[in-house]
Order: sequence, then structure tokens, then C-alpha cells
Amino acid sequence: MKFELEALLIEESCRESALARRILAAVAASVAVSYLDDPRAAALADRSASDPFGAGKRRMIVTRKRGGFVTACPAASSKFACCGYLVMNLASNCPMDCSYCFLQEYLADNPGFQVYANYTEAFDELERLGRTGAGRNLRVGTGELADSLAFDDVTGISLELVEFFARQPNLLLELKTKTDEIENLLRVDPRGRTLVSWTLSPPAVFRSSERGTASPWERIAAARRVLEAGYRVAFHLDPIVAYPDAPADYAALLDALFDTIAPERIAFLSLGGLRMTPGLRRIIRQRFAGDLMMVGEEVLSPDGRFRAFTPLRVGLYRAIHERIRHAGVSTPVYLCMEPASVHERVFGSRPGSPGAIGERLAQERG
Amino acid sequence: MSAVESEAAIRRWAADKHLPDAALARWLALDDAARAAMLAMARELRLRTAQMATALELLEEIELRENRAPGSILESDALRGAIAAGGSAPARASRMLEALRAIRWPRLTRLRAELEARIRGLGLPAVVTVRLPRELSSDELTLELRAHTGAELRDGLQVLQRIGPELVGILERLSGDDEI
Repeated sequence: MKFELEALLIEESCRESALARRILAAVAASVAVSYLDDPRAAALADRSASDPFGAGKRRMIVTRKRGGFVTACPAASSKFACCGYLVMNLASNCPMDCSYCFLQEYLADNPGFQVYANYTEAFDELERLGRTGAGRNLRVGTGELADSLAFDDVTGISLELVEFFARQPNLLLELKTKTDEIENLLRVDPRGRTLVSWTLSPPAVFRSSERGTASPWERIAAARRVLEAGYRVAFHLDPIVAYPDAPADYAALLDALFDTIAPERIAFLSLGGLRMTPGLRRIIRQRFAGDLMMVGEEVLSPDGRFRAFTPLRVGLYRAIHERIRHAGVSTPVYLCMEPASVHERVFGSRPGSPGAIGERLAQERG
Repeated sequence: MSAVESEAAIRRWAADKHLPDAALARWLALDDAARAAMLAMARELRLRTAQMATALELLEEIELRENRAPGSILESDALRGAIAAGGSAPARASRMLEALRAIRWPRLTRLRAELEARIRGLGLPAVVTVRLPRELSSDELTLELRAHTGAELRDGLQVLQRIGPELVGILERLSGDDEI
């Protein structure tokens, strides 16, 4: 992907880091480079900009992460039937700009695009996690506060990650992306320990709401290539937008996916309806006032988020799940950020515990 | 009233009512006729600040959803009917907002009307109430039985027994069983 960077800021103590050197060698000469003793202030929102969040995306900051890298998924809650996902934060923010992205609110005060030069310290945390979780299979992803592969041609982090996880007997790496940035992945052998997942939306949502991403077809084609290179693949239909043509469009998307990748080779599929806190919805209406997909029939739900009203949302989940089942295989499917009652309506059974679901998703073989 | 006079009157109304800047900006972004229509409506229905802000936001979202000019929305039969119907100004203001919401959330409005009709069709006595979730935002149906005497309680329980299958049908509809 080719993203527009305006400035590169490097923390002085990271000047000699491998990451800083790789980035300096890869960015265009036109990008202004500066060095700062403490770049934390540079990550703050520039309130004088017309779009502080958008401006933050164009300002890459190479810095040290102060604090741990691995944490529980921030979306996890006892209100939801969760998937036991662990998050490893190697970067913060994303060069793409999707209307529905929760980072617009989550990182509103710190939108600078930070990448952490001391990311190898995460490997120590992971090794400890692998030892203490002996016997349990854990899925760890880098795609929560950033896209896992956007800018990988600049940072090259995926190479080390895949090689590290290839040596871990009970840890599975999930690289979650909306790009087709897979060239680095094709150079290393994942040994079954890395799963690459793509968020997939129908073309109508892609055109309306996903800026700077690869098209759905490019994502599916990239998935096919990494699958052939020995990676496991998975897909997130998330957010599912309940616009009037959604049932037909999601069915067509699944058909196209299954035509390219046999369903039995897909490790899992996740489904999640469009959800917005009131604050996020306000930001979306300001930043993307013309995006039709963001003014659907959402109402304020008991969990405090705007979601498509329940019969509409659950009906769409059921139609999509039916289409997946119609493909004739038992690819694991789970719901993201939905309560157990919705899970039961869609799948006809109560969900397992987050640990049990996580274990299953980490174990399944593509 | 000229466009300049209309804008001045809108700004006066907004200042008097402490209308938030974002709402005023929405108002002034309308074409001249729609701006004036909103001002006339604000005066006729004695709209409160929050009602005006809501109406402007709904208008903007309907315009986007339906690719329809605000003027034509304000001229629609549904909206004119709500405003023209009898009653106090606050009651008419409430109906006007309800009409705008029905245009903004058409599938929700249709389904809620269908379910409300089914509940009315149950012929419930006063001691039993069945409530749909607010804005159909969950799949939870609330039943209330009020009794002061043993006889009332027995009657109420019999009613619940009778309407059980129909309530299951309503719950299934709430759970997305059929296409909306």
C-alpha cells in the first residue's frame, strides 16, 4: 500500500534502533525527519488542525513503548460472549481511514501514528505467557490498535513476528489486516503458528466507508496467496452494516470468498454488527458526513452503543450464518461484542466461556 | 421575508433559545425555503431547543439516506399531517418529531407498528401489560401483572396462559426470525 506520510519523528533513544533504520531507509525523501528527546507530546492531537485525527495518521512516531505490550482485548466484557483474544500492541493508529473505526474515539487525544522500536521486548512477555499458560493454546493478535500489515513494507516487523511464533508450541499469532501487504509473509515459513485474517465488507461498504484499504477482491486474492504459502487464514465480517441490500450483498461476498478459498480451509469467521458509542457516532458524523452506511437504522442499545435495532441485526446474522452453513462445512463462526442471548438466537446454543472459545480458535487447523 | 431577513430571524431564534452552534449551522445549511419553513414551524409549534436540534439532525440524516431535499421532506404528507392535526402546540411538536423519526427509521417503524398491533389484538385486561423493548433495541419482552386481590391474580395468570403462544410469536419476531 502507498500511504501519505508527512513527517517522521524519532525518539532520540531509538535513533540507532533497527526499526528506525529500516523506516528511514524506506520512507520517501520528501518526508520531514526529526529527532526528539521525548516524542509523547508529538503524539497528542493537534487541535488547530481541521481534522486532528486524520493529521495524526500522517505523522509517524518511532518511540519506545512504556509499559507492557500484551493485554486482554479491550473490547472484552462480561456483557459479551467473547473469544479469548489477546492483544499485542506494537503500534497505535493506522494509515487507512475507515468511517466506522473505533480508534477515532479511542485515540482521539493521541492520534499520532506510533510504532514501537522496542517491540522485541514483547517476545519476552510472550515467552512468559506461553510458559505460564502451559497446556493452553492462546491466540495473540497485533491488529487491535493498528492494522497488522499496513506499513509492513516499511517496518518489516512481520518477518520477526512470524519467525518468533513459529517456535512457540502453544501461541498462535493473528495478523489482522485490510491490506494486501503480504510480500514479507511470503518470505518466511509460519510452521502453522501464524494466522492471517482479513476484515471483509461488501463492495458497497468498501466504497462508502473504507478509505485507503485494499478492495475486498484484493484481500481475498491475498488470502489465497498466503494460504498457499502455509499460513492459516480467517475472515472478520465486522462491522456488518444492515443497509437494505445487505442480505444479498453479504451472501454474494461469501459466495465470492468460498469460490476462491474452500470454506474448509478457513480457520474461522467472525461476525460483528456495526456498533458506535454516542461519542464515536458524533465523530463519524463530523468526519464522514456523507457516508450513507453510517446512518442506518441504529438505535441506542442497552450496552450504551448504537446498533441496528435487534430484529434487523439478529436477522442479518442469521441469514449470514445460514449462508455459511449452506457452504456445507463446519467452519467455526463466532460473534464479536454480542451478548450470550444473541449468540443463542443465531447459533441455537449458549456460547462457551471466552477461554474455551479462544482455545478452540487457536487450535483449529485451516 | 427576504433571505437576509430570514437568516437574521433564525439567528435571533437560535440566540433566544441557546441553540447549539452545530444545530444552527445545520439550519443555515438548508436552502432558503426549507430554512424559512423550519422557522415557521418553530414558531407555530413553539419548539423547544432540544426539539429543534433533533428535528434538524433528523432532516439532515433523512436527506442523506433518501437523497431527498429537506424542503420536500418538510412538505411530505406525513409531516404536514402531523403538524396540521389538532391538539396543543407541544402535542403537535411531538407528533412532528415522531413523523420525522418514522421516515428516518422506516423498517423499525413498520415492525414496531406490526408488533404493537399484535399486542393490541391480544385484548389484554387492564391488569396485564406487555411492553416491547424501547426502540426494539433488545429481544426482551416485558410482561407486567398487577393484582390487588386473589381473584385479580388468578384472572391475570389465566390471561398470561391464554396469550403465551402469541407472546412466543412476538418474541420470535423480535429475534429476527423473519425478514423485515
